[in-house]
Amino acid sequence: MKLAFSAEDEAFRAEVRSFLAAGLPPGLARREAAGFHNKRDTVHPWQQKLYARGWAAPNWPAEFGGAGWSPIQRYIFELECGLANAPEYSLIAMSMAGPVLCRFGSPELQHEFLEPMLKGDCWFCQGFSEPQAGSDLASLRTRAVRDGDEYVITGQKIWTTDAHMADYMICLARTDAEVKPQAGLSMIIMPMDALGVTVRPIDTIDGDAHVNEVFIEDVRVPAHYLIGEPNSGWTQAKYLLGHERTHNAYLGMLRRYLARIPALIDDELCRGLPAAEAGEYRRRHARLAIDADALEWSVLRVLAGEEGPALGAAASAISIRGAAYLLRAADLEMAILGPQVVPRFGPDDGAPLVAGAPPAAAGRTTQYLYWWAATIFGGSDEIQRNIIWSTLFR
Amino acid sequence: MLRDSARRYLADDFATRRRGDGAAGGAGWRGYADLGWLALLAPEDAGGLGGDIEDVLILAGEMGRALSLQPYIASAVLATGLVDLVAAGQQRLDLLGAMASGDRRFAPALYEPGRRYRLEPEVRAVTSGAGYRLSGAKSLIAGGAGADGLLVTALLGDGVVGLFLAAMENAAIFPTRYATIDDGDAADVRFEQVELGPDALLGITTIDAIEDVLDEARLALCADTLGALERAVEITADYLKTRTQFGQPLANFQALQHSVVEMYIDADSIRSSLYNAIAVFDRGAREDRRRAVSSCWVKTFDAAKGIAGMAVHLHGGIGMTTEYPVGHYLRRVMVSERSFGDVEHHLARYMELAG
Repeated sequence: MKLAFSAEDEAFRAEVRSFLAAGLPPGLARREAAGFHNKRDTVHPWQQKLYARGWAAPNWPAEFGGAGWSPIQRYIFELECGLANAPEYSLIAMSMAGPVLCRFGSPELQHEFLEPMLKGDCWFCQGFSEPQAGSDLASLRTRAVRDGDEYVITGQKIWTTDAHMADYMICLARTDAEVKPQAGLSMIIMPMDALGVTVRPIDTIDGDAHVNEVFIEDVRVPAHYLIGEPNSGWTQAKYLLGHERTHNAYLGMLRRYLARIPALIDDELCRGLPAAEAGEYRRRHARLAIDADALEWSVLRVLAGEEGPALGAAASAISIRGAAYLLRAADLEMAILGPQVVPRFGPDDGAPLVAGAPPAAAGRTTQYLYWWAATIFGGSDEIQRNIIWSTLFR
Repeated sequence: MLRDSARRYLADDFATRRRGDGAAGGAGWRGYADLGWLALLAPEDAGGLGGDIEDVLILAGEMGRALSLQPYIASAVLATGLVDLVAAGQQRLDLLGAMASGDRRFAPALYEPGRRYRLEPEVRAVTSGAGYRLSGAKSLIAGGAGADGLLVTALLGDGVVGLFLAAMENAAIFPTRYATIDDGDAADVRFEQVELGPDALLGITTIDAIEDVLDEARLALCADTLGALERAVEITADYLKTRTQFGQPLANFQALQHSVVEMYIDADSIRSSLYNAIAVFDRGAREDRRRAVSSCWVKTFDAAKGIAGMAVHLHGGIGMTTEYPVGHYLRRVMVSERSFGDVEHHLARYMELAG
């Protein structure tokens, strides 16, 4: 298989790189590099710039205001954003709710939501998981009952990323309890400021605040907020989870780590890191770079459509290895920094609570801890292995 | 398609081996010649097909899959590359033609006892009359036992490296012929004042140039290993579906399913790494090529024994037997992983080139 970046791809890469160099606010990049989640108001100006450039939604069709890029271009953009420490923004709207609305939404819903999403004026959260429905998503219990021109939603969601700063939820709810579990689900847009919605943040071990519990008590939403046909939610959810098949490779993030680790080793050699240990860390770095090269080609194979029917298996494999490599990268940075990563850092600005700690230590433990979540969300590693087995071997 | 026809042709290789046939050279080698496989990398001006590396990698993958005992990578890929690189004029055409047709098979003798994977030879060649006199030793010559001749790197003085062709029947060559643990054949040789004619020197070359040719052979060996590992995964998954314990197929147990899936992911990652190397090979500078080959090597052989060993493990006792193919994949990769450098060697080369 011959597949390499063409001259046009390289020109595109250069264009993206210079745009990032000129437009990305340094403070935002610093916070992102440290590994803290950015807040809505801090990333908003950046999204505005991307919107003005027509690049706010790399993976939407051009007719809906997306960038209209090829898969390879989208991949290059992700990679360059990673290397430049550009943050993700409005993740659920841009990579989940948006694509679902583009694909399944009525013209009315598309008109109401897509443009505000692009501008960063309309944030979404994703209401899928429930206390009793994690890996077994189809067993979810939140109900939506039609009542005249409205649906009445009742239930509870958990691990809801960004719920504390979202305007809407794409809520997966049961609209038919009489059929088999997958067949009775619908996806409904729910305003987060509606009466009966309560958001409670969940403290997570990484020390950053990003997930929540959402309690939904008799919340009334307009009936036309149901996306597509009633009871087609499972199809939409599968589409959504498969939409960014290669995003879970986290290659932009991995390349970011790989690019900065050699300098980190050099710095720590001046701060007492023994040379023999430095040699071992360089070897770990080299092995990780080798793994990243292979993972990149796994992604390129998917983007080139090589996999055919085994596409799902390839995406699952990429997701498993992508999370594992990030953990290795984050662990390597902690190892290089040694005891300096032990003090807790202020989660808001990355300011050290200990005088004299190197700035590079900020966020190292936070990020390492967070990557364990990458082995869980979007389908745990074990669910991914189940998918691979049933796709290829059963 | 090359892959399909090769797979069909090689399908009986393991059965042939079980009958005690299929050794290196002989009818098997002649068969490869008849299919044009030996001519694949020979340039067209020497009667070859001038094919590209990707065809060779496809063939190598099928040979790994079939557990072929033919020394294809040593005697076709590497030997052809070395002769094409070093020899000149009519001699080059004659030798390449004879190799491509299968009339003569040569085994490269690059490595030496006690020198691991260093390519700088300590075997010395001095002029003697009109010809040369060779002394020193070479070891682990793949396919060397039944070869017609050896392609020997030797020092011509002042750091100049020459490539010599030494016929195996030369009385002053003392070969030790032996089987490798994967049932391949190999030889060590001692040159005690071996007198060679003037045309034994095919030409002079450099270690860098030899490395370039070796890198093609290295990629081929990675492809061979990938083919072997992918087959081991298939065999294992199939076995779990047929073997019944506790009243049900072993394939019903999730712990075993996930073990197979991990083997699959590791093998498929090698495929991605190989594609990366191929892409660089087509367009990259020498340093980039070397880096990509070493990257692929580390990726391949970091995982190889784990995959093949788990294939044995998941079979239970039958996996340990020689009559069943799966254990032969483990034996094969144990030889391959130390054939043209090992993981540590290539990790060091990768890091050197990464700067």
